[in-house]
Amino acid sequence: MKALDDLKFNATRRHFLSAASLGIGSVALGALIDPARLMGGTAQAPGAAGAAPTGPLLPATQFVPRAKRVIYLFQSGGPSQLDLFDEKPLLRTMNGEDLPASIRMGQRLTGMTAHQKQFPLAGSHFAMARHGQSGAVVSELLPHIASIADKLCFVKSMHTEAINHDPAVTFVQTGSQQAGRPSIGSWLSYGLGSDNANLPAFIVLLSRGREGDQPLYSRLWGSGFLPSQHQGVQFRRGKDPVLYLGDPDGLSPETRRHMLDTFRQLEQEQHARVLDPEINARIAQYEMAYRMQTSVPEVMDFANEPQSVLDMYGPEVKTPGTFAANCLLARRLAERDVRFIQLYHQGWDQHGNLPKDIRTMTRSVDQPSAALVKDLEQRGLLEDTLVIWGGEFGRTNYSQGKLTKENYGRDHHPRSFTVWMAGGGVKAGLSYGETDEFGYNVVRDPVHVHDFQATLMHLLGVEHEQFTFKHQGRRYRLTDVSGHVVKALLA
Amino acid sequence: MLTDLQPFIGRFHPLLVHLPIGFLLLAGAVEILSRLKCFEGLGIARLMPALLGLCALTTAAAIGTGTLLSWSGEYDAALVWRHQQWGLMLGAVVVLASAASWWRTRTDHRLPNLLYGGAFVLALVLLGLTGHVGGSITHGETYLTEHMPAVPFLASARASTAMSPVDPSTTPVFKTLVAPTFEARCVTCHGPARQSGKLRLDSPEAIAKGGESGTVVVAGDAAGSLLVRRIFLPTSDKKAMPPKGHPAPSHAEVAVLRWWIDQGASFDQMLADAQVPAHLEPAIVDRLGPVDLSAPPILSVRVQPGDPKAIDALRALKLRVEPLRAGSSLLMVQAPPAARLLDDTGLQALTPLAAQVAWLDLGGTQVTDAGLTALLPKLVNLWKLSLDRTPITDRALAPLSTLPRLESINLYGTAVTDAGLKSLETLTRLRSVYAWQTQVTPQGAEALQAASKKVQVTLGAPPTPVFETPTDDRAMVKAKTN
Repeated sequence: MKALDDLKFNATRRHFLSAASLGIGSVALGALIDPARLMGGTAQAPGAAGAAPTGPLLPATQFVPRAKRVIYLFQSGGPSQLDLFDEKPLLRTMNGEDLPASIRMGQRLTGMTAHQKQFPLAGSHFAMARHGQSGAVVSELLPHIASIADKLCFVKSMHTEAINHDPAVTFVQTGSQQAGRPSIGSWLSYGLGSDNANLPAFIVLLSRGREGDQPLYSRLWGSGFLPSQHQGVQFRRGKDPVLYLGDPDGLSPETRRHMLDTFRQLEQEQHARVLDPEINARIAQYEMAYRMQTSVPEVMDFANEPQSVLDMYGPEVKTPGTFAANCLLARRLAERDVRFIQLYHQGWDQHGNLPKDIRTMTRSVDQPSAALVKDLEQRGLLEDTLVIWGGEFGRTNYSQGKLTKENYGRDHHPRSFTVWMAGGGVKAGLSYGETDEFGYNVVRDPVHVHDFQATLMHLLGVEHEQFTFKHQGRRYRLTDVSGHVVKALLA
Repeated sequence: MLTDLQPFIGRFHPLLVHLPIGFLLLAGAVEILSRLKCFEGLGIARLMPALLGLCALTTAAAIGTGTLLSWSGEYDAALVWRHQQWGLMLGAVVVLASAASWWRTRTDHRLPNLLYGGAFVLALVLLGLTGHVGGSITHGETYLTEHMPAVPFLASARASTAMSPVDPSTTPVFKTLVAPTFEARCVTCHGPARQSGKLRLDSPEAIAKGGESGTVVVAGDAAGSLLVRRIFLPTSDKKAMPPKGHPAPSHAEVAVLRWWIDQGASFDQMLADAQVPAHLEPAIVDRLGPVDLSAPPILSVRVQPGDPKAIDALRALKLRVEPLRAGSSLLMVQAPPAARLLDDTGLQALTPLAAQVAWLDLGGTQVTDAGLTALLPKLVNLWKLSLDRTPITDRALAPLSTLPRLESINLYGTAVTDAGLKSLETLTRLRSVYAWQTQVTPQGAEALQAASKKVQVTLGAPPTPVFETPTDDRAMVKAKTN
């Protein structure tokens, strides 16, 4: 009951009076300063009476949006940039030699390799070549991605602050290593609203390249302190993509509607009493779920996809829950104007047995990733859809555990990793940034996770420094207190 | 000797200028007081010729010292010129006023009275103007207005100028960022008046030509360019530029200059085509005002804000209508899934906003040739257009040839043919055409690409190649290194 009592005091008399007078004052001032803008209908105060709960918060974007939506192909676990994109011949010639301390520069290591007496450099077992007119370097493990190299923008100088999975993924997704902040998709849903009233603005799809890898947590697509209708909605594989969405047997749609209407009345009465904004969020979510009863089965049904399109994504596309199927689904969601489509593909955490396991992973992602880019492009969607492919950190240039002729493993490496993007206003055919010849430190054009997030926001038309939410007395933003838009990546 | 004396005397100008101000204001006060009853009969009006005479003398002194000071060239030339002109006029008028005030004491004529009154008032006005410009020279032009309380209509005017950023696609780098530095720091000695070292820096041709010591600008190599090297010489060096005593360019100005040379020292490059490193952006913003270097050129189009009623009418049709970005009157109009039933009748609602619509996405709607043929020619500022999966044919494309700003057209899943693409050939800004699942043939696409070099026609993804997955990794690397 304490919590409910607190909520009542959300709006004390004093609070109400000060807020009301400020509000009236600022409306008057606004009318004086720029009547056209205030009355133009484009600006809408957040939380104004009658505002649709999913309507955009930002009256207009600060930049012309180059992307209207994002498909984030998150490679969970940390793919080895040294075996996929960052070619370092020196590691092959120095294979087995110790990592020089001058390169490591006291970098902290994870508990998994900190005890190692030696850090034997491990050259990649996989050949790399330059591809396309841009000459982007891609491993033989990713032939399909290599074939579209000219459409991609590689950032080879990403670096992060976290060294373990949970904080690192949380950092990329929310801008903070500690849990509790809203994720990127929630920020965008909150700020830009939804273009499709029948689907959530933020949808999450999970897949797994191999068993036994790092887990994911639903808070990674949580809305943090933002109203909870902006949290990501996970679509599952199989018959019931959204749990508890379908009506139980014997319940007619009319009965459901009637129940929702009555329920809404009760909720509104409760809201009038306690003024808890989460009640509005709950009403919005119930209504969204009702509309999703028809929209979700429609989007999940691949029956009208022509065979040629299915073939692009590869044979696994017919197995729900695979990365291939999720890529196709992501395209279908993008076509339906879903703002942020977050895929997670698990299985990249290759501490040992990397040469074998990475092949399993690349087999599952290569063709579908490339197909998604091509499929978006032929529909003209790539023009305003941003595709991102990358993990939470990179992997070490030295072997975790014993380095043998046939085998090596790589530990977590936050100081450098590679991410690629396509479409949505990024420069195609660009390889940006560079690591040293050991593939350890960034030596040119570093891109911090906050820089990356700032650039992502910029592409969607949002000035990351101005897009804040006040919570517990301070203003929060996705990029916390840092982040610069990397202008060189913009087309 | 003389050269040292000149600035020494010149710097008394800020002191001396206050004397004529004091005398003139005192004269004004005396003039008013002399007309008051309580001072009647004291004859203080007789002071006037003396006061104005003193004023004329000190004005002359201020003009003299000011002229000496202006020769140092340390101040903004345009402001100094204005200050000088006003000051000279003030001097003349004050002399006139003092002469008239002396004359009117010895005659009953009306003319000196008129002359005196007119000259006095004019002198006070000129005093205000000259003083203000003088203040601007020493304290900067915004000194007075900086902390002025915001008056609503002024504030909105200021905000709107701040909101309209420079268009990088029409901003020449040399003319706006480099030439002003030459103008301010170099042209006095290397210009039409003087050509020290037989070098002139006041025109592109002259800069390219160089001077006595050879070329001064090596395109692409700032460090190797004489122009830059002379700036970095120690001030004790005789050849250091600008020479001792002359104002040196700021760090930002030098940085921009070096960047311009490293960029190829082009005289006609536009800012949008230049690669601007992040550390130079503040310097550029400082000079040009807010500039969004990644902003598309369409933003330079200025239109009246759209009629709110017309915008509401579109929203009633479930269309999404947003400004292209905050502060722009150009609009993005998009048909979300809920608006898929939009047809030609609905299109008519766009007509009142024809000038404002820049980005129009009608993908998947029911619009047809008839509606589009009527609407499209009116959308003069159209930038992006999506008509994918609509029942249109080539006829809908005919009006597009009159829309010069069009950059992207999505036609996928329609019945358009090669003939339809013909109407796009005249569009110089066109970048992308999406024509997957249409009747467009590879030949038709090539014809358009040949006619308009920048355009990329997408006819669908080529068949996915089949790749062998590597099996024995060791063997593969070996095979390749051998």
